Amino acid sequence: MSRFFLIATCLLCLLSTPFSFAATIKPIDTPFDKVWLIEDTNIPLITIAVALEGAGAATDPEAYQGRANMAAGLLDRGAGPLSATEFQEALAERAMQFSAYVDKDSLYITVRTLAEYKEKAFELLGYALSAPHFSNEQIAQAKTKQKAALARREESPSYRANVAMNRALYGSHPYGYSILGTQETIDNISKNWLDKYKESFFAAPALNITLVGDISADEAEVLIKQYITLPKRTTAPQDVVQVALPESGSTQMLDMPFEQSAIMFGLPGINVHEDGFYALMLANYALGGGGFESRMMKVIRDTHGLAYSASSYQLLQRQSAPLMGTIGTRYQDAGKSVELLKEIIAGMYQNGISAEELQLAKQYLIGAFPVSLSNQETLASYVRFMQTADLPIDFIDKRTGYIEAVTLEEANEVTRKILDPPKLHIVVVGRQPATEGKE
Amino acid sequence: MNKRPAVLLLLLALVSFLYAPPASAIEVSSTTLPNGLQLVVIPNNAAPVVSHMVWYKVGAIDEQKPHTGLAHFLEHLMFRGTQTLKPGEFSSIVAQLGGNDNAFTSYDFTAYHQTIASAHLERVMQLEADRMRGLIIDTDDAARELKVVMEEYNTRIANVPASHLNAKMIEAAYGTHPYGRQVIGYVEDLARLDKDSAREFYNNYYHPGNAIVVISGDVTPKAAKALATRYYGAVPAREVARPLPALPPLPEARTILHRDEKVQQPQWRRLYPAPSALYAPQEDCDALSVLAQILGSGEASRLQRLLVDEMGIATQTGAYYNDLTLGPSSFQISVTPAQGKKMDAIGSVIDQEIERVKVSGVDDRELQAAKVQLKAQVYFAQDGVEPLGNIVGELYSMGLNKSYLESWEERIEAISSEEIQRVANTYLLEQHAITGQLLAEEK
Repeated sequence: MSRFFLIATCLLCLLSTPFSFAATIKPIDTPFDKVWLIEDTNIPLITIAVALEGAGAATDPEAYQGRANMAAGLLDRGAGPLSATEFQEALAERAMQFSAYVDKDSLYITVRTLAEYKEKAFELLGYALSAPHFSNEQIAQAKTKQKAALARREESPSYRANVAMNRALYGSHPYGYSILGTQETIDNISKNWLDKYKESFFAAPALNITLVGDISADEAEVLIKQYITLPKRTTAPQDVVQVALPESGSTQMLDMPFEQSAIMFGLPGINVHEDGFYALMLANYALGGGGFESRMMKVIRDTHGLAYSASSYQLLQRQSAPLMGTIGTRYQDAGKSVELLKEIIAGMYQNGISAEELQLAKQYLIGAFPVSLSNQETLASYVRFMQTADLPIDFIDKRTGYIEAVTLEEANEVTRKILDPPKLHIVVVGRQPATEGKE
Repeated sequence: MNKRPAVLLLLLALVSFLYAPPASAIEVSSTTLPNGLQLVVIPNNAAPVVSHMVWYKVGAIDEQKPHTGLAHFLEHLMFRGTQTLKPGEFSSIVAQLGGNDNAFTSYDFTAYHQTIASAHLERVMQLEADRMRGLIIDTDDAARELKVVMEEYNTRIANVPASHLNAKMIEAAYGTHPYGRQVIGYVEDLARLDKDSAREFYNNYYHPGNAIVVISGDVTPKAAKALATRYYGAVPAREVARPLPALPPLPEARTILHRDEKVQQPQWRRLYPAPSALYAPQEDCDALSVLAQILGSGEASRLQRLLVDEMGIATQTGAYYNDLTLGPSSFQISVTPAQGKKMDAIGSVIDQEIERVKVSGVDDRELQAAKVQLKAQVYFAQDGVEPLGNIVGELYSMGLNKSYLESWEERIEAISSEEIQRVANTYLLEQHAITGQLLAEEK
């Protein structure tokens, strides 16, 4: 009946202040890092969001880029006593959804199931975590698929821009590697390397689980105890080497036959636990995070009609949280769009943001947040993020206060610190007008 | 705590206890205002959030050359100011209230929607009712927005080789019927779009009797009706004529090749013209839906197991069929060939599998799995307020109603292998099949 408390608290808040979200997150006692539950009996569904911290693509050795990504794709292709076909059939017969992927820091698994199959969901998850087969047959197939997926992604100028930006920011550090790998490195990955990956990083202290849905704390405790086992770590995990961003910015113009250019910008940012994080969150809204409210959209799209999309965001990674942004514009206008972008950034650097912009940013970031969490999938993902970012279990309640507390002065200190033009990295991928007619 | 909140809490406790909805009982209530506006409400008080949508019964299907792209262009212009709002102010207000708003144009409808705390439902209804007839289109603004539409064209079409193949395939399949072109319109027509043609389109179609308001989430039908009457009810009625184009004749079978220097990963596609629920018995459509699920949904599907796992000639497969179309529908299959594998090999295997279904239907195991998956969709759709709003909106704008949803589980359960065999023989016809291949430039 925890929904009752949720609605009641929300209603109370509605009586006085704008609606606020008081999630009832219950910690479950297990041998793992964090296991949190939000019970919701409104619909007969369960969403299980899992993270293995430290098992991300930054652990790929350079010649084996794409390894973590491949491993994620293989977890449901044969695990425990079930062959690939048996595992897939077990999912298909129950309309159960199993997806796994990596970012640079962690491996993520999300399982969604009808409540009536909750036990089977934990059983299958348990096999995937403790005993994935990584059979040679499945590896061969995975390589073919990953190379095809990479080829498909390389048809997109924004993917190409992303790859180039990562290299600009991180150079030869693993954060600069491609999560999908390259056509060559994918071929290098062997069963030996996948087994090593699993042995090194699939350990109990690294595991976080967020459960949302029609399951009680008692049930969760029993099922986790019964089905989820991971070895305790025998050796301390090898931390990814500290990353150091370059002192100054860069510009890359990559000539590729796209009608619409992908423009990307990057700047060193501020991470979750660092001073000024919320100030930057608000400044980012004003810059390009706030959709039609943002300077990027207002200038580049509304005023000049140069782009369909123009936005910015904070990319939150364990070791580095750059401020990034993208613009899509026809290649003939790419130069002009870059100039406009630089003007916007320089303008914010010089003069900060206005009191009105700060207020609008606060209103949206506070007001839209609970609305965005009103379904299991996004709620589970967000709470899982809280776990991996080491945010406390009551963070959802505290967040509003942190955002509200930011003053205009603080916001403008942060824009002066971060939006520093000489530190700006730019990538433009598309037809380069300078090279036209020279083919 | 004073007395009022305590009473509220108690009432709420009672309501929560009583309102523990049985799993499949989705409540949908519909009413029509005197001016013809249809209001459909799907109450769900799991969270104090609503999805508010206005579906106009107009889309690319209502366009004629040389004015293709109008419906979508108008969708853009709807955000550019009314008699009471400045350009962009609509979205600005919604953002300030902590809501998200957007819109989409399809062949059959144009929908505008917001997801927001239920306390702000009244405001968004006021805003939508305002722009239903209060839109102002400024010449410079229209010109600027046209440039944005051109960039959207570049993002979705010009930059994407698969879109060019799609354009050729639908033209082959549907000829001069509006489904034979992409919703965004022909690029040569886009250049001609202007404020006058947009204004005319708006005046022809944007009226309450041609609109369906769908609200899903934390509101009661009674409260929604009261608000709708106050805001939408005030918009004057006007007859809207919406003659739909005749269904096109079935095409002759063709294979289309599209080569593009940007292609890194070839694609194979097949399109069979197929009926919509408006033109064929619902059982036929349901059987096709089950077949699409069996053939192409996910890792354990027939095509995945055969082409990817067993034969290794593909890395990805899919099958797709949607019965909710005002015009002709299609049954589509897509295959991503494995590196170095021939397109013709893909084609033969697909032809063989379709033939196999025609001759001997489907296996019981795959049939049962498909049924479980399709029936489960109803439950997944109840998570959050948007999915049901979308489904219900689409249904009602087709002229269908909640009985489609209510009978879904039963209808799917009733599909047999024989039914599937029958529809495969009736509709998946080789002589009308369009095959497409996306290829890199020849070296």
